[in-house]
Amino acid sequence: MEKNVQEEIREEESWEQVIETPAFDVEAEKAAQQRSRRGRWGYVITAVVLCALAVLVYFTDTLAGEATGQLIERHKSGVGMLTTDAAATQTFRAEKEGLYTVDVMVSNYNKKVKEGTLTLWLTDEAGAEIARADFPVTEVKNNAFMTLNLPAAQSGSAGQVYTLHATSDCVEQKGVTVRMGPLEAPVEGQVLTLADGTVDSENAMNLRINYQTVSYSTMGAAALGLMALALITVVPLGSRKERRRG
Amino acid sequence: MAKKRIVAWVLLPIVVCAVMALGEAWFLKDVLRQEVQGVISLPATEEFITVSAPAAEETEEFYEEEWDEYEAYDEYEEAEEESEPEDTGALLIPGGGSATVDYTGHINYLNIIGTSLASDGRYTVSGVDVDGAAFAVTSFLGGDGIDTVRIDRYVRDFTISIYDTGCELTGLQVDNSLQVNPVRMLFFGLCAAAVYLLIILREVIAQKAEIGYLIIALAVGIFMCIALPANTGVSYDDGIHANRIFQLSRGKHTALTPAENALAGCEWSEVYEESHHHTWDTWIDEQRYDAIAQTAAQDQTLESEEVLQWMFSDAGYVTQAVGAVVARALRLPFLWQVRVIRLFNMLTYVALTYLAIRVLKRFKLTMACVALMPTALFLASNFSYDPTTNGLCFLGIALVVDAILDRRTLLTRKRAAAILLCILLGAMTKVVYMPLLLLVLMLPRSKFESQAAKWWFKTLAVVLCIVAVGVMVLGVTNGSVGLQDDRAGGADSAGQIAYLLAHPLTYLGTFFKVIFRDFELYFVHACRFAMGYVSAVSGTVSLVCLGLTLFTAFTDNDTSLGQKMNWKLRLGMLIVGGLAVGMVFTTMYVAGAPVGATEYWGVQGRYMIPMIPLMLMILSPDGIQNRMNKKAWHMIFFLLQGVILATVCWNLVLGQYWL
Repeated sequence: MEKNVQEEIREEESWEQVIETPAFDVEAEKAAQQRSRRGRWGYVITAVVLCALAVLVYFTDTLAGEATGQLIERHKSGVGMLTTDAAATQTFRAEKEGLYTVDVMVSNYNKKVKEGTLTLWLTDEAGAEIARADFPVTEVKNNAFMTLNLPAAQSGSAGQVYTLHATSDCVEQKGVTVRMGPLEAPVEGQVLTLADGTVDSENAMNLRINYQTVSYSTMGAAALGLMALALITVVPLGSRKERRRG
Repeated sequence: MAKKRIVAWVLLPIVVCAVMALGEAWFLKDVLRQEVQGVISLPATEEFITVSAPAAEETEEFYEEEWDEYEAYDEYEEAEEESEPEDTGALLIPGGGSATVDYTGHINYLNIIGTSLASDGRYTVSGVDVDGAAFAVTSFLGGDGIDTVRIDRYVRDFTISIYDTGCELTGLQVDNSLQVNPVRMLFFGLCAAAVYLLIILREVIAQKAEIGYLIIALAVGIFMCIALPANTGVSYDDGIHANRIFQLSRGKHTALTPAENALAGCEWSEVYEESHHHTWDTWIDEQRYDAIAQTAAQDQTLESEEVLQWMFSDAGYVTQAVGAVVARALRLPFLWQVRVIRLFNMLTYVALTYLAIRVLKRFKLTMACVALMPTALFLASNFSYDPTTNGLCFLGIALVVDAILDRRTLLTRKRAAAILLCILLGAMTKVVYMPLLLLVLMLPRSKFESQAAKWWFKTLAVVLCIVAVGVMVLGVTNGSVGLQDDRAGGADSAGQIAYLLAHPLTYLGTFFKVIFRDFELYFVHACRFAMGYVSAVSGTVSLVCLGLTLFTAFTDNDTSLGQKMNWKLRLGMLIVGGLAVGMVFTTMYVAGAPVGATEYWGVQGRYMIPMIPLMLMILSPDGIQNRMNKKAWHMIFFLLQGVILATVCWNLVLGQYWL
């Protein structure tokens, strides 16, 4: 009798079920709760998978682009005949990530030269060499850009100081040189050393600094991440359409 | 009973074919009765055609007005004199001039053969028929040297008036040949099928209004997908949408064919008075357009190579891109590929709205009214991401409103996830609709098993909304998403944001003033009946549609359902809908209006479509109930919707492009 009274009290306090069961079935209730827990885990796992996909999409759905910076607007003169005694150097601060080539405008004084090599190399702030290239002077065209390729795009290049060095062993005619032009105003981190070793603060080499930009898929990752967040939002809810007593 | 049903279904194709044949025969009866049939060529000679130049005085005044302002006009005149055309046998009709043709007889179609001397070769054929009634038909003489215009009268002389810079007329043809118009037949067939199905399924439709919706929506949608010009410059920004759809259909490393590029660049539509025109405006012209497009599509060279990256708005293009892949795989002719893409878009929209109506217990017909608005169906039948957005928003709103009104049933994970995902995906295309997620805040406590579950769900839903909007704002600030639109001129988004932050109350004053003044334009007319560059519907049809919508919304209530909307729910819906509307207006204000402007730029009625169901639900009183016989009322409702949409299709689509 006590058991029946307890059951009646339980029934009064419990919610009515839409699913019609003749009596309170402990086994059925346990099974339903297990299904609900499994369902909950299903949502959590799906959310985790979506988050993982979001990370994958962020790094794989990339868009490569290019950007170029220039130190000066117009060249007007040269740094002097390049020799092997001392390098003409230009220090500059990279503005963006992904520095991958440096173009420098060279000149042969409009005279054909046949023997010799123009050497360009790039060092970082600590003086470590990043890239070096030798160009036969026959490839030097007057007032044309020559490209120093870096082995790989420099991640973390934004804000870093680099130095371009230029020398040549060409002694024919007037040899070769690098063109330079006036700066509008001195720029911090930008120093020009001429072929004779003089430091020039009013000019800079005619350089084009090229960056390889990579745009990660923020929108793609965000779309998947938001869907994952939506699934997490519903995890505490029930799985059965229960009807409450009115 | 089962036998009756089988017979009814077997009769369906017979009835449809019979109506198609009879309808077409009715329209061809005048041609069949003509004594002279076939194609009659009229010589383009001065004995037969009298050319009139524009009046000299008018010309002088016109020149005088322009004289001081445009010095180059002199050179233009001189250039004209220098380049007098050689005698090619063509009859020159100067700009503003006209050619009167001596011809008496029935003209079904008139073919104008010639070359327009301007990119836009607008002309009008006018005259008087045998009963003395005047007529005038305007069309365009395009680059292919021939244009067909429908006269369908017995005329006594007619005049061709040329606008702008004139044309060289090389020939005229009266085309009285028997031409069966398959698009007209399709119209009759779909109308017959829709009415027949509404009748034989009336018992089902009485209980399941979504079936009635499906019948009407599919009939109209299929017609619009096929009959609207398979071109861009038909719907809003459809060239831009077409470009992205074709790109996405080819994957990350994408390229387009010359025909796809032409479509994306709206090269096959003329621009006149800042509006696009599909100049092939008769059934005969459409065949020529088809030939031009197919010739262009034979060049399958891939050009305009590009690498794509996923954008939020791409969610609205997925089904259309799938349609493009399927159409290409089936090796369909190019214009049919265009139609298949539109078909996929339309089917997506109809499927989502069907589910929305099915989910609702109260407001089924209200939602059907909104989903069947001509603007919404027109967008669904074109290149656009609006249909996916609208469909998902409707479904999300239906799910959450039904959950709110059914207070006694616990909210399940499945339903809650569906609500959030529908609104999230719908609003990804246009983040301004993200505030619709806040509708979940109105779910009562009784929907949750515990207080903790309620707080968890509602808090994270708000976080979801804020994060989604934040991601878009981040995209705008880092330049990956463009906001500023320079088409209006004077746009300065950064300056405008600064102005808003400095003068929020002034801006709010501008916003509410415009809402109050232009409410009818944005929320009543333009969202329902504007159909891009095709035109807009007004007059009796618009009035009937508005009346039906309001009547339905006001009476869409069955007290036996026990679904009441208290004042807090209505206020909450108003705030959420108002937030979304505010975001729409503010985004366009920032994107295109000059800093501190007192007017908005670029806001269109179609942007309000996702909020229209909320507006109608707010207006629907609990105290009014529709006690009409459900079978009869649902039949009347869907038949009326069908008549409204059929009228729109006949006047704006069939009448404008296929007759």
